[in-house]
Amino acid sequence: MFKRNNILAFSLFILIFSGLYNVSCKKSFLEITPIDRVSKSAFFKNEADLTAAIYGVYIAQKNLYTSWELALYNLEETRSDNTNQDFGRQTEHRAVDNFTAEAGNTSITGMWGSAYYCINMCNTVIDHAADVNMDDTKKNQIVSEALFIRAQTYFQLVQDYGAIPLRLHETTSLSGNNNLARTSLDSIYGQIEQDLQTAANTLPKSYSGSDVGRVTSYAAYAMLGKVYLQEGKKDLAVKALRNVVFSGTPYSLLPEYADLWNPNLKNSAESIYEIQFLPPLNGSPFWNYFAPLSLGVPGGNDGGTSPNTPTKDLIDAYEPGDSRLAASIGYDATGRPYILKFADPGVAVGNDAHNNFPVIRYADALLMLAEALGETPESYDLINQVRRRAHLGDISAGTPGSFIDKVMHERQVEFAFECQRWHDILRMGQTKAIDLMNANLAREFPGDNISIDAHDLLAPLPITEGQTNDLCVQNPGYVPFK
Amino acid sequence: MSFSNLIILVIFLLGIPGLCFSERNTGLLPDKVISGFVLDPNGAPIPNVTITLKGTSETTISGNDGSFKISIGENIASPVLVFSSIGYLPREVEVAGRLSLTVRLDVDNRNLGEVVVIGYGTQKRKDLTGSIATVSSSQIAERPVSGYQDALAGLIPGIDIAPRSANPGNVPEITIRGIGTISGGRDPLYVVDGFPTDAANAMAIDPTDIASVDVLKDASSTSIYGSRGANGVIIITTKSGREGTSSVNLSVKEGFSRANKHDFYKVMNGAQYTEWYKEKAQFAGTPIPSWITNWDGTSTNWQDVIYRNAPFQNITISTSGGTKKLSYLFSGGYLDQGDILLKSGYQKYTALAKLDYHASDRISLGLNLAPSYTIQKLSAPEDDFSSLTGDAVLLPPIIPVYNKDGTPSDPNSFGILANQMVNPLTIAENYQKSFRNFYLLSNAYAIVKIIKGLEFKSSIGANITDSRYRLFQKEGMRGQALYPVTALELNSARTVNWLNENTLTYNTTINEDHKIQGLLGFSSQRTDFDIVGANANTFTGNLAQTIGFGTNQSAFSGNSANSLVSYFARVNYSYKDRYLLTATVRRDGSSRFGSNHLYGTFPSVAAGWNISNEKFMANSKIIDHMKIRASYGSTGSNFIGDFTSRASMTAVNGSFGNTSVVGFTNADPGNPDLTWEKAKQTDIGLDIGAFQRINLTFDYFSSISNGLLLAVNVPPSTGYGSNLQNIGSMRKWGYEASVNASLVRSKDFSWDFGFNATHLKQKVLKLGPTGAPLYQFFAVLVTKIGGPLEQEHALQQIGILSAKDFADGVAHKPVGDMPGDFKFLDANKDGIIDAFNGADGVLVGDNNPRWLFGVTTNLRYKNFNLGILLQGQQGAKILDFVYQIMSLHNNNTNMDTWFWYGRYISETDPGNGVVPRAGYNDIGAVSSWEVQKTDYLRIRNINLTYTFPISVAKKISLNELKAFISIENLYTFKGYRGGNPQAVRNGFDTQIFGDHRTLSLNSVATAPIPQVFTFGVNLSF
Repeated sequence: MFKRNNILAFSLFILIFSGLYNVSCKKSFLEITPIDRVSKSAFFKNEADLTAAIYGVYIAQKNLYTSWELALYNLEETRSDNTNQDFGRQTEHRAVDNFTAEAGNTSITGMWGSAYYCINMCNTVIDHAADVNMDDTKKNQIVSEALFIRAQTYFQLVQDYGAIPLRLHETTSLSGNNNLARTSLDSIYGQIEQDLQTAANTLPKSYSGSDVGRVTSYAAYAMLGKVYLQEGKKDLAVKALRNVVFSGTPYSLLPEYADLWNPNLKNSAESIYEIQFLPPLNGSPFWNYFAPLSLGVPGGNDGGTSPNTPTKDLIDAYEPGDSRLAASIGYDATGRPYILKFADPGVAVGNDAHNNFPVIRYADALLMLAEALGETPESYDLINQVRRRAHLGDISAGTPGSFIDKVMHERQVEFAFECQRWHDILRMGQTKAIDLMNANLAREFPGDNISIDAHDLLAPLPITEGQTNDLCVQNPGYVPFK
Repeated sequence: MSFSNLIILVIFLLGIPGLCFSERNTGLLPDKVISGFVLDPNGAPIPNVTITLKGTSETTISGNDGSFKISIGENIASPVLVFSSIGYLPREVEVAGRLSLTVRLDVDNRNLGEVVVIGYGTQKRKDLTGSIATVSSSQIAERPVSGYQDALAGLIPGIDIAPRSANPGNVPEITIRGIGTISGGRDPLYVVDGFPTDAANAMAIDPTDIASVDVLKDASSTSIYGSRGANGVIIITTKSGREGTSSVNLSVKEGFSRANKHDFYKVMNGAQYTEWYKEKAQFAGTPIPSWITNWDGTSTNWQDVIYRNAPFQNITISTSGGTKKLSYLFSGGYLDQGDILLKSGYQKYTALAKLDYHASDRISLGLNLAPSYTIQKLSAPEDDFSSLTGDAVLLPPIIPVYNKDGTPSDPNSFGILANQMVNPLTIAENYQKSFRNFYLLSNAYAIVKIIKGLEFKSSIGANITDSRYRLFQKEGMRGQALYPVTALELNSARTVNWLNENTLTYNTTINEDHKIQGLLGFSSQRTDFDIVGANANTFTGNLAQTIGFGTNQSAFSGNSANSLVSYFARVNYSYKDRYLLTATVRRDGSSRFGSNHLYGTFPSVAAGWNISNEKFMANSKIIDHMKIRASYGSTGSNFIGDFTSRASMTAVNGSFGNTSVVGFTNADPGNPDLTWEKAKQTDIGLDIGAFQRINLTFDYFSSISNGLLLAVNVPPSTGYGSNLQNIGSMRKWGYEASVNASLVRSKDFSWDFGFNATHLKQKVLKLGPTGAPLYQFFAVLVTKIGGPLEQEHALQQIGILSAKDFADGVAHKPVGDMPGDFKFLDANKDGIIDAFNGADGVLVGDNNPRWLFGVTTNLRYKNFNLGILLQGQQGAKILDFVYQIMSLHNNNTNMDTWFWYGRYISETDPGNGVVPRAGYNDIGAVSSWEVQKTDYLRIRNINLTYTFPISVAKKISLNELKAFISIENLYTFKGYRGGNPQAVRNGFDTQIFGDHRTLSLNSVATAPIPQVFTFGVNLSF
């Protein structure tokens, strides 16, 4: 028997239940898009998103060059015969300099973490490009920029640490097994070459306006030449570098060496690729790091009172009359030499200088091509272009010394403090590298009886990786992870 | 609130029922009507007693004055009336021809008839299979407390109510059966009148309005709350109007709070202080400072300056009642609890409105509205040095409080302090912090009776929290190094919590033996949070205090949201009242969880055996009732960030050439597998009632929680350093027992006694992939596999170094040690004392209490009633950095007389072998001497009540009149040197997720829990 009340009750029941069920039971009820952050799942929709992400890649690379108190510089320059990590409290940096750094050293762990952060950021762009709705040419360009920076970063890692885990896709989940064994050197170099070739084929030759400073096709060829040269593939290096050094090349040497760090001449005619800095807040830390306290540079910290200074070996390497010496090295009131190269008279606050940091410049392309060609008249012509700019006389086959020694000498003084020297030393070959470093260490740390052997040419893999990646084994000669 | 305002409020509240509900007890009088009163053993009227004429359906309910009328058919030969009411033993009375009766009911100590609030329903205690403890209104209402939480401590086992700070209005940290999570949220779920909310909203309710607080402790009772049940559930039920009654109640408590000097730090006086610093100079071989030689005899105990007697006031007025069609309750309350610290305090304005309208036999509709507004004012930061308490302990006693002109002195002008300190009077005058919060709990519902026993209920409600924070540091602070600038901080946050619940319940009895209760439900809840804030500093003067008048203006905003969809079901089955079975399941979907784990299911089962209902025990003279319970189930804890599972990107700045660009880079890796922490809980319980006088409840419980949230280090080659994962595991277990006994029960005198105790243990089972310990606070605290949470890691002090020790080559610190300094254990026996976080660090304790206990005793003589509640804890030890800070004395600060009595003076007067020489500096050596036991026993409440005889009350037209004196926190027995043994430091770490406080470390000198003395009156008419 259905009374009026029953019907009312029943309808009310149906009404409320079905209505509310519909409102809240939809799957979307559990899908909330946060507005206090950029959720990755909602990103990578349009050109602006992908552009912001490739800017993020460049910024990640900038951080790789500057973070952990110049970890990258410590591994690629401090470790060489060019600089000396002085007395003082920064024992971690000194350990890199005198080859006692172990897996927990902050430069070792810092460089690794920053490099892989940058690589994962490249992978993020590469993997998500397909999701983005935009012009394909522009999209391919952005992907190629990421490929270039990933290849460059892997190239730096592989020289500093040896074989390393090669990660080519964005890390999307960390909750499972994150182990990855070290990839063979051949595979890593193969990937680097392939990525740079793609970049060289895809990237524009130049940019205009505010895009100047992004990776060009020329930069990719120059980097490819550098990689081939390091691998000993000289013919391929020549082929790649001929795309940069040719009659009609847009690049030229600046008239004066000192102009290279002039903040008003960023991305100059000599610059093939450089790390971009711009105060306020995004300036370069290099000058402050090297400036002696006595100079009173705003924010100058003298490397945290553990100065990184030019070695006598380096200073002695400059020939008389070489204009590069005065542009690279200064002396404080006590006569102590310091690294002057990145000086910025306009620096206002700490770690905020105006000048960019060079990665590859035309002088490098010239000297690399000379090295790849071997001893030929053209090679001397290439070298002499660089020497003339330094106000030095020409050299030739008749000049004393082997050809490779002459090239390496030129590179040492031309690129001092530009994170080239350690890789140049490695390119000399194991025996020569060890001899050179041992001779330098004996002078740099007299009485400390420091000498290195083959294992020291590679840095230890960081403890942070060893403790979390079960498949990662330590380089020989260091304390194993397990 | 002035008296005239009160009168107006009374009239206003009186007016409403008078106008709306004037219809009472109408209808024809039957042939024969019996009338009378129902009274309790004290002679007070008992309202709401159900009176049934035995063998008929004739039923009535006693009014607020205990009066009743019932009609008896002429045809009934020897009528018997059955009186029953919750909390009283039922009684049958033969009418025997009388027309008027006065019936006294005895208090039911067995609590069997007691109705327990369970999730989405109620149950009789005798049918209960889970572990639920109930606190009733009578145990809370007369307590002078700022929130009900403070009144719970000690009343029931298994719950730890820890006031982390003594400021009135601060929500104490409540944990149920110990902590079962490493870095997740520890709070239980709070449910107020069916609405799942949080501790602050629950605290905003006026304690006088609370009818009962039910604490759900085991999985059988909490799994109905699924992913929010693992830490236990506290259900608060407010009072309601009842059919057939009408009354107005007024409750007034007036009194004051004060600090008990017994709880002060025993700081040195001027003579001790100057002598100590003179010795320090002598040990150091430096000249005796002129401020010692020129000391004028001033001896200030700065603690006398910062405390005051503060007023306490709590007034609640309510009216409630009901007819067949409509029942109602309106209540308004005001509470003002001054802080014993200068210029601080807490005020609360509350209202409660409840309406139930029975539209028809089948449909009823209802509405609850509970708005409240709280103001908390604080006059100092919670900081090691600049809190009023920290400042007062450390300021040298030889500095006078006032200048000659009566203004507060500047402690820096006496040439004693190297680093600046501030007169606490200056701090209190110039530091103005406030939290002004508005809370609204609102809920509307409809109940439809579909067929007999089957009921559908749908409710929709909103819980709104609007909180405003304001800090102004006035001009007067300027020039003091601690506060170089004037500053204003503002923020305004709002949380809107929206809830819809739909339940179907079915109750039936089959063949009288099989009782079945079923529940099926669906609910959805969404919470939105937003905050905006602005800061500015360097104001000119104090007159204008808005952002625009300051410089360095900045602003921020934040947003967050989460949603929860749930399906739940429960079946309670009872066979012949002997065998009980409960099965519960809830399925929760939460937006907080990773996309791979949006939904989780939380089942539980429980069984009970009422042995006393078996035939073989039915005639026992000793055992009144006896039940064995067991439950097992799974619950979750979803206290994780709203969007922590989502991978996100963040904006960063860069450039090309001279053009700035904004890029986006990877930020939080997210974790699509992120999910709730899961607890598997077991409970085995025993309830016994004996001799009609004694009730005993015993429970063993164990909970293993898995998937505990930890920031796990991942290979940096992934591009990330760490990731929040469900990876930790721990176990907590223990016992709890409570005994309540009516020792004496007679007409004029009765004595009830209760005791409860809880034993808690915990053990970490799994930590991260490598099992590496978690370090907090510079490695002072460590959580390790196999141990409890947050063990203290320090050097072990084993005595005082003597000259002979140095001759013998006893290990000491590498530099700066001399005879009279601390001797530490050389744990690794390498001949050197390493830093505390190095090889010589040992585990010296932890601050997790092993025992919690409470004692209640209630003495009644005629109309007088004296209740005493004691409460305490045992087995916890805190690492108290206050003593570390005192030991540094590099600012010539004052210290506890611990450093005075028995100190090392010379080789011939080496003291007690524990206290170092004057001038010993314990910098860098966190050591065991700073570890203090936090055991205490507190006289939590003493309450003396006089209930006026009903005849007296009636003469002034009252149904009830009670007067009482209530004293809160009269005295605390403790060894702890400091005010509040349960104080701990604010959260301070990045490795631990979440923002809760540390457990085992304190660093701010603590204010005592205030004594509150009140006189109160309850009356109803």
